[in-house]
Amino acid sequence: MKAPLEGRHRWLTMPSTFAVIIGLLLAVAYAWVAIDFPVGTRLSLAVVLGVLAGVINFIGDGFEQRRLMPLRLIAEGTVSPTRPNLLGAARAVASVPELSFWLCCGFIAVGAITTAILWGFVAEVPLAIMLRVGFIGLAIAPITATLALLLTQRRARPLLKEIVAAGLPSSELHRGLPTSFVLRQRLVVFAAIAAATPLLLLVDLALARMRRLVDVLAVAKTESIPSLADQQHLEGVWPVVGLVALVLIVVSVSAWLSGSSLGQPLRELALETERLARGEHGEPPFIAAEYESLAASGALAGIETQLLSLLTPLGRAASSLGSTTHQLGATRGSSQRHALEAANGTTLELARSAKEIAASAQSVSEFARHTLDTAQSGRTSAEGFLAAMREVRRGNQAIADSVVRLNKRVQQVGRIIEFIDGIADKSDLLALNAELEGNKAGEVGRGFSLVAAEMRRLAESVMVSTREIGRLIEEIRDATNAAVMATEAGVKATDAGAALAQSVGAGLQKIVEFANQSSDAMQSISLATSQQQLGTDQLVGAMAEILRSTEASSAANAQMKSAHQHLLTLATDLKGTISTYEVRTEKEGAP
Amino acid sequence: MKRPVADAHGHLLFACGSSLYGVPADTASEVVNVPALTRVPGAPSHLLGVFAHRGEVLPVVDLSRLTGKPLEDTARRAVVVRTPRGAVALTATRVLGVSTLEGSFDRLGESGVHQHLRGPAHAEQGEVAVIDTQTFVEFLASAG
Amino acid sequence: MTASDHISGLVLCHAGGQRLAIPAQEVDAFEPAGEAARYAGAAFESDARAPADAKVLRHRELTLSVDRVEVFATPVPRLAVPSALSSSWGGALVCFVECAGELWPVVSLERLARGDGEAAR
Repeated sequence: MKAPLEGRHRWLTMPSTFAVIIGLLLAVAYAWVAIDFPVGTRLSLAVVLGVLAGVINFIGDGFEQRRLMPLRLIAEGTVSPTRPNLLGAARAVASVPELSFWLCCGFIAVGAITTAILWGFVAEVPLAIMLRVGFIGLAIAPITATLALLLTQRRARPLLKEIVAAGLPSSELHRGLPTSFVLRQRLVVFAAIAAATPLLLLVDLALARMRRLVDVLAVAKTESIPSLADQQHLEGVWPVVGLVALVLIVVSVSAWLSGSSLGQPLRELALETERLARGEHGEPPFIAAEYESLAASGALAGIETQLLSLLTPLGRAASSLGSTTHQLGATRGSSQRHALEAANGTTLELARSAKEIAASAQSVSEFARHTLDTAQSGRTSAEGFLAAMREVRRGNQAIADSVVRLNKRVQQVGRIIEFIDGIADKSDLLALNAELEGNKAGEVGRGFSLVAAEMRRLAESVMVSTREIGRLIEEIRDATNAAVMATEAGVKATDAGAALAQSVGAGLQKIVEFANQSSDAMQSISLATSQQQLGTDQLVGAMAEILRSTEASSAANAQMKSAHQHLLTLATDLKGTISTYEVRTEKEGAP
Repeated sequence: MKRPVADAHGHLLFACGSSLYGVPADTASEVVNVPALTRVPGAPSHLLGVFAHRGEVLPVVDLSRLTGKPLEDTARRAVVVRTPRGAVALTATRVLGVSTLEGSFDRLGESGVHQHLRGPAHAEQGEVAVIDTQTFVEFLASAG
Repeated sequence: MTASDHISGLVLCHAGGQRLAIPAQEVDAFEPAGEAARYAGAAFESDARAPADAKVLRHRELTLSVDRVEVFATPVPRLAVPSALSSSWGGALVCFVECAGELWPVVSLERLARGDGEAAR
């Protein structure tokens, strides 16, 4: 059988080589145009450069392959693709983009200095030119390293998904990957690099031309100075323009890559939330991302798992409610009437609470479905990035506002969770009192106490789940806040954030519009609940009246029977509500 | 002095802070969430206030203030205890449920509230001080 | 003639952020604020001080100052004082009533005055 992930360790490190080649070509093109080489030294520079570049690439590739050893062992079939091994490979893969960045940066910088020194001694060039060659290499290093990081990241993400498909559950992968909230810092650094690189190169070029002009004018005769000045000004204008364009293209491509790298996981997050809203549960898929976006996707996966665990005890409670009514129905005799009276009122309240919890859970999912229905239309890729840059400047503030509004909707979800938590707390209290009554009734009340104990367990597990969901909501909120701050920092320094702003902003705007529309659903929930509470009080009062006025025990038993019938129906309804959520525990299309 | 305790129906156990207490289940009427309380002028510090419940006025007593180890936050739940002398709601941070107890039921102290606590009794969850509800309610009436 | 389980004619008072009520028949007079009057808020929080615009109620030699007063004429049912509170404030608590959705302790100035007299002896 073919080993999974065959050859992937090589595939992942190809982009960094490609980036180094681009950087090298840029540096050479720049040096060719901008430096006045002494005669015959260009060739020796080319030779030294070529040799050093080959050595650097070899060493750097070696470092990367060593880091990817866990992946390579699986790919070559040396170790079996068990979960711990796959997790080790995934961690290695996730760490490679940043490793590429530092390797490229460090090695190119060292290589530039070494080239300058070696070539300087071999070709005996003046110190000034040696320094300039070294300087150009140092200036190119950061942008090349950034390009290497972004291109490697584009391959690392699908590779992580392949690892999940090879047998590592995505929830385990989320737990195993380190999370770091450094998105803002990374974007600031990137902005600095994108701004500084062209700036440094152009300043160097300008100074060099100024020096050349001064040299020429210093030895010229006075009357020929104006014409000489014009001549110098025009000389070599076209290569300079071409060079400037080349540098700007490299920077712009990096900006576009950075933008789509941020936007892609957010699109996938929206899709996954849609699926969740439709009630399709199962093992959450892995959404590849970095920094805050990874934490958000991990938080979403955690919410899916928690919802699953919330629904399972509800199903159990429905079964146990149905099965223990038989015990209650078997009681007879007027001597047990007191216990029956107390049991009847509290039983109804217990059943009502369980129904409220199920109804609220349903409302939450419907709300999510309506508000995220239009996430699909937010998918526009960043085409025409140069034109988009202008629009983004204007759109930046609108994005920050949109995400703030999104945060408010997240807060509303948080309030629903609080509401569910309140119901669970009341249920716990009711179950406590039921247990007490059951205990006082002695043998007769034993089955009743069992139901009450089960209800307490249900309420406790619901409260644990709601606490967990509340914590996860906080994580998502932090992640979106970090995204706002990172966007603002990036666009202020440079137009690099243009692509991200345009594609995400349009989608978010539509999400917010639909969120406004669905606030009606929220209001009707709270209205229905308070009406239900009123109805509960009236019903309990009416029940007490009925029982008090009845003399014959057979009449009281008849009431008890109908109440138990009601309970059975409620239990069946509850089961039916649970089963509408398709809980898929098998992975689709697993081999 | 050992007093045999009628344990036929068990004790309702609850925690007030780090201490566990028990009241005989026959005297425990119900468990409630502590609502907004009305303060009473000239009441002792352990009496947090009163509230109306099913047509009667119930006083709310914080055991932790009586034992001299007051809690930082107020407890959410209260256990309503009824005796022939009167009813009182005792605050609880957590109500554990009904259990049977074993152990001794001697007086745990000679002064203050400790005269009305019996034990140490043992339950699954730890050591429990059982409240002699009759004498405790009388003690509250005279301590004001 | 009101039934014995109702009470009519109450002066509803606020003092130090808390509530108490006094049977209207026991109030001999309302007086302007004075230093000598005992502040009802101190019965809730011992370091509470009367505000500048406090109202003073007089019953024989006893003066009691509060923050605000309001007269309530409608008869309301009495709620018994629980035994745990029978000796609060020297036994001055008479009963509880529910007014405007809130619970009010009803305090007798007569019993307070008598209690002061006994303490002095």
